Amino acid sequence: MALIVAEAGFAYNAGRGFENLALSGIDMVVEPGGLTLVLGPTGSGKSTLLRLASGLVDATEGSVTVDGEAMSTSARKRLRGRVGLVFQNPESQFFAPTVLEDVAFGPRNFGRPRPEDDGREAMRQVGLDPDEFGGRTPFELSGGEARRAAVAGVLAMSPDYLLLDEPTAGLDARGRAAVRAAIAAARERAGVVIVTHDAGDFLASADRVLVLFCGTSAFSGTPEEMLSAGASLPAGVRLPDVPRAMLMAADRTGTAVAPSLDPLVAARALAAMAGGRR
Amino acid sequence: MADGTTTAGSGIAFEGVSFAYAMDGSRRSALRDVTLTLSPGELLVVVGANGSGKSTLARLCNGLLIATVGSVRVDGLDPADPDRTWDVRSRVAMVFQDPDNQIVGTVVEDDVAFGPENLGVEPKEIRRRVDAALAAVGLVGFDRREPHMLSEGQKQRLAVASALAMEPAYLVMDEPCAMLDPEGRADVLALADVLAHERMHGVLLVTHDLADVAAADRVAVLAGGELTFLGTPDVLLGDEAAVTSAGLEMPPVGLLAASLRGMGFDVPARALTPESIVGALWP
Repeated sequence: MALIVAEAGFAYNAGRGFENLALSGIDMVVEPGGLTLVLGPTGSGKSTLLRLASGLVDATEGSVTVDGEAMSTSARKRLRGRVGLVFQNPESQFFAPTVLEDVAFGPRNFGRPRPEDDGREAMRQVGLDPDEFGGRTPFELSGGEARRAAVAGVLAMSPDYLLLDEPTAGLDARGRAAVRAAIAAARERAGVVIVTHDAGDFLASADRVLVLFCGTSAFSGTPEEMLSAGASLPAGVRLPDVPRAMLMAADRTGTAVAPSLDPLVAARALAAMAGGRR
Repeated sequence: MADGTTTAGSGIAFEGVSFAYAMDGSRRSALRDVTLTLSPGELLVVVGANGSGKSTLARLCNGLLIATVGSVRVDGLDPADPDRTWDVRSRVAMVFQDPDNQIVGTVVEDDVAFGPENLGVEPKEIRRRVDAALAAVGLVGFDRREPHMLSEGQKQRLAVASALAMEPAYLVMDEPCAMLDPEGRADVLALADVLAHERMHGVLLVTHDLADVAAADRVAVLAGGELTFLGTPDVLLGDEAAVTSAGLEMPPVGLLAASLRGMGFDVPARALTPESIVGALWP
C-alpha cells in the first residue's frame, strides 16, 4: 500500500517547440500514516508534483502508481476519491449555500449512500462541529475555519492519500494550529503530502522531506538528515530560522553543532558558543 | 499643493474611528474607536489575527472604505469628501497581497508607467518616474522584462514600483508578504524599511505575522476590531500577554532571542532573524 512516484517528470508542451521541463527524475513514496514534506522555492516544481501525483496531468517520464495501479488522467476517475488534493486557497472554491452541503458535495457526486453523514464525520475530523457550522454559509467563515472546511471537503471522500498545497499560507497562529490538528487527524488513516515553501510548520511532524530545486530533487531524507544537511542545501532553500541561526553561529565560531528546531536547545547551544560574551 | 485647506506632510490621522459593514440589514462592527497616526518617514506595522480589522483599517486610509464614526484625515484632507477622493488617493498608494492581481503591463516599464500615463503626465516625466521607481525597489535594468518571468518577491517589488510612480506620500501594504517564500518576504520587508527610513514615505504595513515587525518604528496590535497595543516592537515582543491575548504567536526565532536574553545576553527583542541574533552575539 503506497502512493509511489518513480523517476517521474513532467514537461509542459511535451514534444512541441515550446517544451518546458517542469519536473524530472522525482522519486517519492508515501505510505498510509506517513507525512512527506515537499519543500522548495517558488517555481521549483512543487505544485507540478502534486498535479502529477493526483492524476491531474500525465507523467511525461517515469510513473505514478496508487496501491499498485497506474495513476493517470484517464485512471483518475477510476481512482477517484483515493487521492485527495487540497489546492492553495481552497476556500476560494466554495460554492454551496451551507458548509455541510459544500463538504458533502464530493461523496454525493461519487454516489456514496450517505453523503451527509460522510460530510459530518469529515467536519468532526477537522474540529468543526457540524451542528454549529454545518448550516452556516461558507463565505462568512474565518480564515482558519474556511481552510479546515475545505480540507473536510476532501476528507469526506475518505482518500487514502491526501495532498495539500501550502495548507497554512495566509493563516494566523490560531488558523495554522487548527489546520495542523486537522492534518494530524487525517493522518490516522491516510498518507499525507504537504507542499510548502515554509518548513517551520510541519518539519517536526514529517517523516520524510523532499527538497525540489529547478524541477529536480535536491534532497531526500528524514527531517533530521535535512537539518544536518543545512548549509549544503541549494540556494533558495532555507532551513527554518532557529536551526539556521545555530549553523550561522557555528560557522562564526568554527564549532560543530547539531541543528535543532527547538528554540531552547538552540539558545543553550548559542550560549555555549558565545561563552563569556554575556 | 497650492491648496489652503491641506497640511502637506502632516500624516494620516485616525481619530476615534469605527467601521461597521452592512450585512443582511444589520451591521457588523469591524473596527472600534481607533485613534492613531502615520507620519512621513515612519514604518508603522499593523499586526492582528484573521478578522481583527486590520484590512479594514488599511482600506480606510485612502477612502476605499469610509469611517462609520470618527474621522480619517490624510494631510488634513477628508477621504469621505467626494471632491477630495482623487487628491487623497494620489497621496496614499495601496499594495495588496497578491502581486499577480495588480500587474497590468506586459513588460515591467509599461506596468510602472500605467499610473502616471492615466494621469496624463508628460512622456519625459513618465520616463523619469519609471526610472526612479525601479531604482527605489531595486529593479534597475528590468525595464523590458516580462512580469510573469519575475520571482514572486520581484513581482511584489514591481507592484510597489508601480505605486511609487504615482509619487504618493504614503504607502499602505496589506499583507504584502503572505504569498511570498522566505526570500521574497525578506526582500519586501527590507524594501518597506528603505521606503520609510531613507525615502521618507509614511509606510503602513499590515500583517498577521509577528516576525514582520522587526524594522517597525511602532507596532499597532488589533484584536477583535480594537487597538490593544501601540508602541515599539521591543516593548511588544517583551510583553507575552499582549502577544497571546491578540491571538498572535511569537515566532520560534523570537523565542530563541528571548531565551538568550533570559541567560543574560544582550540580544534585542526585535532580533527576529538569525542574522540579527548572531550579529548581536558576535558584533
